[in-house]
Amino acid sequence: MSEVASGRLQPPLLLQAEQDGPQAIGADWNPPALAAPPSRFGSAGYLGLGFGILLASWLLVSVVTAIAGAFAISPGLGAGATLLAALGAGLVAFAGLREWRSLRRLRQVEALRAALRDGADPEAARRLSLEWLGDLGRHVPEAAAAAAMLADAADPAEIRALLRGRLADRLRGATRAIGLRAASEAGALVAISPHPSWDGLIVALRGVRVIRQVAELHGLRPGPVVTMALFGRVARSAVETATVDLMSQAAADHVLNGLPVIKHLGAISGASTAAFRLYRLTQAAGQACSPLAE
Amino acid sequence: MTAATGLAAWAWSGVRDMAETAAGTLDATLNEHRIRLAVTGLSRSGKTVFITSLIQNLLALGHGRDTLPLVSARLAQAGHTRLRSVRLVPTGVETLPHFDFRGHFAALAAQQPAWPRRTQNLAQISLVIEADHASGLRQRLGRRRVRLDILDYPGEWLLDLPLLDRSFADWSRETLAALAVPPRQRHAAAFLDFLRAIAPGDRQDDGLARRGHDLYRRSLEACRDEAGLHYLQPGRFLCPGPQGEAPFLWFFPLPGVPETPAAGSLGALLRDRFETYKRQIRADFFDTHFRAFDRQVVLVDVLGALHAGQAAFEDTARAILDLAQALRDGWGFWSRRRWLGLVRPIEHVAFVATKADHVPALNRTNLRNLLEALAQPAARSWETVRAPVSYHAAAAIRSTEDGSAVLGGRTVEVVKGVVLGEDRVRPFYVGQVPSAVPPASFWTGQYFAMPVFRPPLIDASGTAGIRHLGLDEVLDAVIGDLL
Repeated sequence: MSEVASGRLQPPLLLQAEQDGPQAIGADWNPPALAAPPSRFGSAGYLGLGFGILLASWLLVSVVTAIAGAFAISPGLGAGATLLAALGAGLVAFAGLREWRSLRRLRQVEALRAALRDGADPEAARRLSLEWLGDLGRHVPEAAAAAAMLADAADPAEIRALLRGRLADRLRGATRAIGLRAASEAGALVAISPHPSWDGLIVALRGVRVIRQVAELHGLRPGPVVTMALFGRVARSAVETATVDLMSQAAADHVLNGLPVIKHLGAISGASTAAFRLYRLTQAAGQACSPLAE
Repeated sequence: MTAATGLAAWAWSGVRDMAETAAGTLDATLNEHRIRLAVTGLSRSGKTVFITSLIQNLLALGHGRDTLPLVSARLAQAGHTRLRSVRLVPTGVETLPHFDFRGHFAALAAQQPAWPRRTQNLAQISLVIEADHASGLRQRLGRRRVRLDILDYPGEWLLDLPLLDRSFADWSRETLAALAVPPRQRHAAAFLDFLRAIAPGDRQDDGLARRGHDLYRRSLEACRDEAGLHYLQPGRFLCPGPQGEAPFLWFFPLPGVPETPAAGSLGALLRDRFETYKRQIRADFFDTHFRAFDRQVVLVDVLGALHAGQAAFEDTARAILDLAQALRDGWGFWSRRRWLGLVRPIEHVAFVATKADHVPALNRTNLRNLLEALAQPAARSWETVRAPVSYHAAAAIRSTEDGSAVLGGRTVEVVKGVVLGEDRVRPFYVGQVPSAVPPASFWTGQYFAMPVFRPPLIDASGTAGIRHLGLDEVLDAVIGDLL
């Protein structure tokens, strides 16, 4: 209260410009990055990495020793061993490069999904969409027409609307077809499997293939690493975005399996369960692989 | 076999639809929370800038930049963030104009940045904050989605709210009493002269009514633009909105008008137009858009009012008080609905002294305290209905930085910014900001227009958000409990 009681000491005043002062304010604004979720690289990861390093170093030492031994026997044998080792290393490097490119493509799809959803950067959304459509064009002919229309889109919302309008139904239909085919195949295999313990293996193997097929449909190139990464995403997609769908399907499955008509269509309960599971897996994989999903 | 398959398909689709509907409702109940956030404030208090900065900083937060530290702290768990995304809700079939967030942000981030123009119409925008639940068990049921519906509108319209419960005679009497004292008297001289020549019992004449309306409106504009006053009614006279000028707007306060003027008289014509005006704004604005908000941010340009002089300051205080009471009690029918328990009460009210970046750090607490002193009577009215009330000093866009300068031989705390239209930083000494409602001895009678600083450098991609001061504190107070 003292400053009030004493009244205003000095009226407001805009002082003269500082000649050596900056021309703008705000250059210091640089908010730090948020703490990312903890790395999943836990003890098992370190264990795997350690074994991997041991194995790689053992292989390297063995190969070098073998080549040195071959050269000790004869120069020709040494050259041959070197060529074979180089060929093997080259194939490993090629596989690694393919995996790296596959992972990069997966990251691009995720970035596109974020760009379309957040709507913050129209140019990034357009660039990522064109890259994705380029890959998608191998399986979906409509992708080229969609790419041609993107130039006129003003913002990410419009880009998303265009992509959805042109491609969503096509992708959904193709995903559904993959799911139905996988479901019928797995159902038939389970129905004729000699022992119930084989059922899980059949579903698992067919499930891997389903995820790879759906990923390819959505413009991805799933190698082993990307397939594993997709498994995680599919699981999250099933838990997070498709919880409702799964719950509804589970309810529908339950009621459907209880209907006398279905019961007497020849469907064996184990086979139909396997079919339903694969069909649902396909739907979740479609959610996980599509940048157009919410 | 075909019939059986058809029956199975029919059963499948029916059960599936039912289950999907039920599960969708369950999902919304478990995971979705919709909040209607009313950002209210008098004209030029910075509502549009506040909304733009709030949205952009939330979007940047969603991109992984810590633009709102208190909000991100709220979302932190075990050393990492639970936040998954922040996104604008795509437009659907809304009848309201869409808030031009992109346009406002682009103007602020341009090479020659510009502040948004005076809001002329209603606009709405919605965004969704998606985060993991804090509880591990609930994380299994999906992500939490907080949807914020934000409304922007001309601040002038807000002051029509206290008008709704007044009769034409009451309003005329109160308005003319206010016009009779400075500084309104000076700006309304022509209108007051005009009034001396007419009487409520004169035969109704459209030309006369139009002439009186024009003069009255000009006096309101002068009070707003030259004296910095806010309590100016009716709001549509200053900002007609998209409908433009319509004959029901052509009225003005009339001295000596009875509650029931004689039929066919000028008084009856003006009274009818006044009542039509009330019905129109109630139907178009208050009942339609103001009825359902859950949380309230009240922006007050305390500093501008303080430096516009005693009359402007007292005018602002009166406006805040009347608004707060009108917002608390509802109006007409709606107040009775509240009594019956059918209207949800306001869940939180945050008073914000805007443009806090014009005040150096040491004085910002005073600014906040002054706002609290100013808003206390209004806040008490909310506290009686148990709505938590908080007070903040904030700048949605921080255009200055703190510094010091030598003034009259002594070093004083200043803020430094680039005045709009100039190209060099200038220090600004704001003077002493009182921490309570100042006594009469405080006022010098001098009017000081606050400098308009150029917006800071803003990353046009938006990923770094917008430099602000205390915006996170406001947001945390208003929606923090939902995150």
